[in-house]
Amino acid sequence: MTSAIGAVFWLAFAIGAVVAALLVPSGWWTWLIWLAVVLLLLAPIPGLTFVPSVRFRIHRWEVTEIAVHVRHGWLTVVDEIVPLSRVQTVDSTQGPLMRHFGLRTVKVSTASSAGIVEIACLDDALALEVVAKLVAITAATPEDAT
Amino acid sequence: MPPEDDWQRLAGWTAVVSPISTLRQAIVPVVVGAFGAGQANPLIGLLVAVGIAMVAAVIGLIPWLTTRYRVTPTHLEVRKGLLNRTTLTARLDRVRSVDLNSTLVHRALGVTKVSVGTGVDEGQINLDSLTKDAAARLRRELLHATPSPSATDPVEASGDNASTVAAPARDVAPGPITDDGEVIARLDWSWIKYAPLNLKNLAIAIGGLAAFFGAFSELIPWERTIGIRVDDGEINGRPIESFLDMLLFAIPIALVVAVLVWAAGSCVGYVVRWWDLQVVREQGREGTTLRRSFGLTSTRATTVEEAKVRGATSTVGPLIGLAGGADLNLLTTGLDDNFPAVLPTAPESVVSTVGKDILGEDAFSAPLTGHGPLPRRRYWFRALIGTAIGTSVTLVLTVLIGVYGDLWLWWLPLAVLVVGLFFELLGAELAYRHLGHALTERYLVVRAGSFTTVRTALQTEGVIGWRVKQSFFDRRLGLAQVTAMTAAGREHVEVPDVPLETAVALATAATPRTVSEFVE
Repeated sequence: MTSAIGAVFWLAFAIGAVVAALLVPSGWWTWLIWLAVVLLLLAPIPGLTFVPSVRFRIHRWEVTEIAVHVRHGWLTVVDEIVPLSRVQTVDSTQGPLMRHFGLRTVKVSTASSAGIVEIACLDDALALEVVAKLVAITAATPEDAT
Repeated sequence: MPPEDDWQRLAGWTAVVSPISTLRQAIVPVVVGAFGAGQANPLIGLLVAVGIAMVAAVIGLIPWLTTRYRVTPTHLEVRKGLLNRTTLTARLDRVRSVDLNSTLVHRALGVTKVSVGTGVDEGQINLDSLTKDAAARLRRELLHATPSPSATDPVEASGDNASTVAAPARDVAPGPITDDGEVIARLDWSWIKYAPLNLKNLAIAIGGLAAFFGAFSELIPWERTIGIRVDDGEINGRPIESFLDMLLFAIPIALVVAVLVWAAGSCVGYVVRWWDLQVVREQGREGTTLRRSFGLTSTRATTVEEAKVRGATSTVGPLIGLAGGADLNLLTTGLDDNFPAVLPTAPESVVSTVGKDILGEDAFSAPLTGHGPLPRRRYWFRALIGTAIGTSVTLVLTVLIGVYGDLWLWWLPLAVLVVGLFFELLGAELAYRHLGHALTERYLVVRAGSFTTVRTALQTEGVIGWRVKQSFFDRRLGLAQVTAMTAAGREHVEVPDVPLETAVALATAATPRTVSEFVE
């Protein structure tokens, strides 16, 4: 979905490059501009075809009584674990597109700026359930969050 | 002395100090404005200058007239502002650091600026300025006062109406505060040898000089001051070629002079900055505090609750390392600067002794586990790729210059190849040799870096999460980039290029409760 938006941008760049190719006086650099046009047209193809399914296959999450665990990425795979005793805030966000598809992202922040964990694009109802659960558990853990 | 719960004013000298600091920020526009007006008519220029000085004096009076502070048994309260009256209230048990800073002006007048850190990110409370005694008393009240009965009560219950509670007598010794406490470290003048080796300061100095000449080069009358006039292809009327032979001598001499000036200047700067450095451990309200004080012209004294220390790093820079020195920084939470330097660059033995003292165990000397042969392969491979790219780029440039400029610099790519290969491979090997981690009783210890080595010791208590990152190439090699999230210091500690199993084992061992259930 985000890749679709990305594709629109790539397309815009490609059109810009075509315009440039037509406007700029021709010379030895003309073929470079056309090469750029082709690359810009090819660039979004992975994002529109197989990348989302790979991302979806890799993405997983788990909330237990003790910690949140999220795995995401496609070329680079990232695993994140944050114990609930160290959670400071739990947010949920929903952009316009996400609202259309009934999705919601849960964001768990800790006292560290490096310690922000996102569970991206959950089902709306499920996301709210997860938020409620996280809030209930973190409120019940009395430790200092630093 | 007034009773403890009375509102107190700033020192009278504030009326002098604050206009000076206000003026210092506005000095350039003021001078330019007065100068501009003065060129048209000297009288107007004078009037403008006097007017600005009077405005500054009035502005300077406002803080003194409007600021009041007091320490109740549970809170520090500060009221300030002329039109917008604000009252700042900080719970004493949330006060985490107290800084006393005085510039030369402050010192001449016997006053000092007090900054109170409360753990809120923008929450520094500044009192500029107090008399020395008042500042020392305030510092002691904030961090070291023996808690009176009402202050030891659970404060959570009624924190808000505490200001209405009458303050009971408190056993704070009036008068000058003596420096009691255990001295952890003191400046040793032999450390001054590290001052000229500090490349970071050298870069700052060169940057400053460059900016200065960049800004004022138009204004400097080169011809009149050093008698050099550069015209088209000629210097002082003689062709440039006749100076090339002279340059052969002039450049080495200039370099030697520059090195000598830098050596002398950096040593003087070092003396002025670190004069009378002391790191002292004192008994505070809740647990011990660390106090570091130093400075010749302007003095700084920083006090930090030791409970906020989550670890420390020891950094060995390239030249400093060859001279056997290292830097010691603390990793703290909730302070204004969470990566405070404890000492100037000092010998490694001192850094490890002081580090051991503050960390409570000898984490810096813990034997490290290496990361196996894979990182070495990766670093050497990267070094070779880097050199290859650098050499081919130079080769292409050389050919281009040769074809278009008819100037064959055949030795240039060769030089890049030899020098680049040497430094890249040296860096790769060092990076591999330095790589390692360990888990002591309370600390996660990591060492990484090639020419600059950083050894970090972070309390496992201070780890608030883990991130394990594997790029495509990482997965092929079975390596992982591990980040320990923390609220202390730079907020993350990296363990680069660890074999995945080792990474999982490390995270499990460091924070068993969190990680163990996710290990497949």
